[in-house]
Amino acid sequence: MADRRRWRLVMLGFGAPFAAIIFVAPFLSRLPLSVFGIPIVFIWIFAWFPLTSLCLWLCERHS
Amino acid sequence: MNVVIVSSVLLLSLGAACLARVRSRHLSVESLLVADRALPAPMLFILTVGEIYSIGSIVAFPAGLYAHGVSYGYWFLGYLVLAFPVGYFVGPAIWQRAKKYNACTLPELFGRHFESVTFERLTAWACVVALVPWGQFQFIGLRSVLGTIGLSATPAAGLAGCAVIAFAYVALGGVRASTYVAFLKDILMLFAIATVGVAAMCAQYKLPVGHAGTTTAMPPLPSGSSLVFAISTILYQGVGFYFQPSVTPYLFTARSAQVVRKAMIFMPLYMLMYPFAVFATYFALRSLAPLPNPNVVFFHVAATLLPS
Repeated sequence: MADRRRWRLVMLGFGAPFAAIIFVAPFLSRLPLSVFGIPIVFIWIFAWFPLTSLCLWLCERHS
Repeated sequence: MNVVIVSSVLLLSLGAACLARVRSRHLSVESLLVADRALPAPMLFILTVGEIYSIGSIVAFPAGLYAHGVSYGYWFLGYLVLAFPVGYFVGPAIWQRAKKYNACTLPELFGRHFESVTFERLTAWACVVALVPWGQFQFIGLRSVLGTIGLSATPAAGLAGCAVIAFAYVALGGVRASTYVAFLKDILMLFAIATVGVAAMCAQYKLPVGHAGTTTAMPPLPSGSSLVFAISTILYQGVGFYFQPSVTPYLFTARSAQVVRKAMIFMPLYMLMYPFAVFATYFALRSLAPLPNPNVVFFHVAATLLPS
């Protein structure tokens, strides 16, 4: 049970940011879309600055 | 005027280092190198971001984005943001080993863990060799900055000057002095990037429609091979970030493993300065004439938009 919980926390703190940057961002970088004149992949990465902090904070809170 | 400003900042930084000396109760080797393993989370945060975000944030990042486009920006921001989740899980373990072996440096940690003086010396040499290209890039950036503001010096004179200043920081207050100097540096750097970024945003929306795209061609979308390069490098650098000799020793200064975790939680928030740098760079791409030297793009935008 403890191992399962630890695994979930690792997935939240480590897996979620990695998936967002390694798997999702490359697809967004190929899209010719922009927000405020900035390619959408950068908006996605900018969003993951606070989201990464949030994931790590949740990890710490539940560990 | 530029000489006065640079001299004032240098004097302020030496003043910050002196303040660190005044606040240190004693100056043992442990105090100089690892701040007695007593730094709380806010000071560990300042020390670490002070070391991570250097001249590359103002020179290399805008220059790379300007010259190489989206794949460069994806690589730069990607590996940095992923370094902190790795640091959150790995950093406390590194701190615990350093505490267990009473190690003040990375070679000491390796040498005591493997009980080999030879391995300790080998690690010390490996750290020095690994830091050479890193230092080289810092000096390239520094020369670019000083050249832009009309303070160019020969590489030997630049190296000697930086060595004297860096030694003065360490001799005055050890790693605590680095923390105080980092605080000053971060305030100035954040202010500079935010100011230029906001000025770029304001100028962008004031420009008439159709003006955009008339100067420098916008960077193309990344190709498959450049993305493969970016992803593989992000993985390598993101995972290895807290194992590099210029970053790992700062973990030793934390008061506890929990302090390392707390500092890591806030690290990605410091990256919120990068949207400003991206806006400034895209303003240069859209609205300014092409630059022969991309290294000066950030300064060029600042000189164009800010009052002289």
